[in-house]
Amino acid sequence: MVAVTSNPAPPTTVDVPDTDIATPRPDRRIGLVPTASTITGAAIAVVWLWIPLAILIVGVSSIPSVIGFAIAVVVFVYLMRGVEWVERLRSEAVFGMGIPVPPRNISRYTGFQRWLHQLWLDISSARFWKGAAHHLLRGIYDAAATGIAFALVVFAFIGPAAAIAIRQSDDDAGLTFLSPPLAFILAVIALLAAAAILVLAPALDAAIDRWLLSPSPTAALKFQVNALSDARQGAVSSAQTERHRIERDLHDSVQPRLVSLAMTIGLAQTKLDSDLPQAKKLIAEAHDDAKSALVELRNVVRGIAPTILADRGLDAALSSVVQRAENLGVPASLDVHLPRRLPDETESVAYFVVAEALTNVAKHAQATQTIVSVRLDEAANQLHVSVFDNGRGGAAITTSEDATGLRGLEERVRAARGTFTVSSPATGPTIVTAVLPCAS
Amino acid sequence: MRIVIAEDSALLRAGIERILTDAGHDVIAGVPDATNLLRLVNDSSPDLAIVDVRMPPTFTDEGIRAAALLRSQNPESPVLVLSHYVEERYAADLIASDTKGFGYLLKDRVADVPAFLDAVEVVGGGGTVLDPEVVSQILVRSHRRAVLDQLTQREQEVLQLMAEGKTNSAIAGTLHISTGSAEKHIASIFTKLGLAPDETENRRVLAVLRYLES
Repeated sequence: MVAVTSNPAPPTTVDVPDTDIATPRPDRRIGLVPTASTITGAAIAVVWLWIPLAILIVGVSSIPSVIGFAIAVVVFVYLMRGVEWVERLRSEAVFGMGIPVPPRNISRYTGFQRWLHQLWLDISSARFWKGAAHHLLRGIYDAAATGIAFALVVFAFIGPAAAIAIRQSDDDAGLTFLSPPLAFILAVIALLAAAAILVLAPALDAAIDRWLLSPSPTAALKFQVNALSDARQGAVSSAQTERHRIERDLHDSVQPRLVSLAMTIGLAQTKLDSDLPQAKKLIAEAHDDAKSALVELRNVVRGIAPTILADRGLDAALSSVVQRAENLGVPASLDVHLPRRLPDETESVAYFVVAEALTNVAKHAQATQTIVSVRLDEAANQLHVSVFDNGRGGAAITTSEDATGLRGLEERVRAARGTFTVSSPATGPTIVTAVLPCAS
Repeated sequence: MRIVIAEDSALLRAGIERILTDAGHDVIAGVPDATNLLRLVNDSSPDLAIVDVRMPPTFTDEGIRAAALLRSQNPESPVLVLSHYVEERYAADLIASDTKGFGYLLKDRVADVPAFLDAVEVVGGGGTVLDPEVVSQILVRSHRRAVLDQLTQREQEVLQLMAEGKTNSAIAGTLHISTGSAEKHIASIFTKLGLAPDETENRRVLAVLRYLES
């Protein structure tokens, strides 16, 4: 299993299943449907099970012939992946236990290399072999249980008749069998046992499903570790990007204003005695410079961590950040649906996303309308943040040194273990979306 | 006017004091935190308290809480809150208690000395002054935007100025229209928003803001 992803071209991504990783909930483990499933499973197994087994055996035995082995492996992998998919569907339909789907590593290469790598990733994953084992085990078990039940039923019907027939046959024949009353009693017991097996067998089926179809603790942990190291990497690079951004913002906006301010006042000083009207004009200019510097400084600091965010929460803090976009010439409106306060981390990342996305809109998009929408999905416990603008599109997350804010955003969201997407066709509009987990 | 100042930065405290003293006001004292401010106001009952939002010990919203406390203890005592950032939510908290003599301005506005001194006069005289940014922050929120779409462009401008505490004649002056047509716009706004018209400008500001905040 490929565990650690590395930049700039990580060999794998992890295909995270959508299902909630909650403990499977046993729904109906016995009943008509599970019993029918066991019996059909057995019937199918008797006919079908030989095929994958044969492929496996052919594959292994033909190792010396490379091509034969390769073909057998490819066929086997595809067959088993399909089988696993069907088994999952069947398990869910029959037992409805909500077994989570284990994460699957997806190759990030392209073309033939990708196909080959993906094949290797699948073969080397525990999920694949557990799926195959599950299929075989279920087949054998279903066939065995149904076979025994079938044998018992046959005995129940034939046993008593045979006992009577033998009792009435010639003693000379030397045939001995159970006495008819005992045969009847045994027939009843056999029928009951057959019924019990057919009714109770699915319980073990469910246990097998849960054992082999759910992710192993190790796989789950590995997945967790991957996700965490990914988040950590995001955190480290987002801190770095953030520092660069603040440095650049201060350097580009506030610093030149203050230099200009100092120069203008210096000039005014020299004119005070000789040219009073000119000195007055310069002082007025300096006054404007000073006020602009204040506004720009406020805008820079605004994007970092306003006190109102910690104090009154995301909802209250967003008013001013959206209004700031209006000050920068982008008509913006804000739509917030937050029934409660969220964890600090979630709130500050969401705030950062909105602030930075709006700054980007003001800088690059030439938009005439911007809509900020923030809402909490209570069921999934996720915060959805989106910033829409109708300006020119073509925004992309670049890896160049002079990164736009989008990369910083992507890193910051990744650090919070959320997902970040940018949809920006060359003709616009642009939608920046972040989905953030709200677990504290 | 007898004024007290609560501001933790000595530089700004001295600057504001100089501007006020220059304009003929009497600055009784400048204090660096909210606790001292409350004591000072109780002892000397000034005509106006100018309060910074961020002060020791937590440097978050001490000034807001001190202002709210001052106004609940003594509704007749005017308070002008200054801050590096204005937040509509804080303004909403402060106008929730229906009292006269309240102002909430960006600290930058002090740099426009005459406008700042005007604001000091208005608040000290029992009026209301809100920073234009407070009003535009309220207006970006979409459900209010829907309501405001009923208003004409001109009416929206008038509403903004009303919320800033401007008088009818000041509104007329700013928009270069006659006082009569300013009054007509105001009447139309009140009708469209379903508010009871109010003669005093101060109550009018509160009515409009409460409506927008709701």
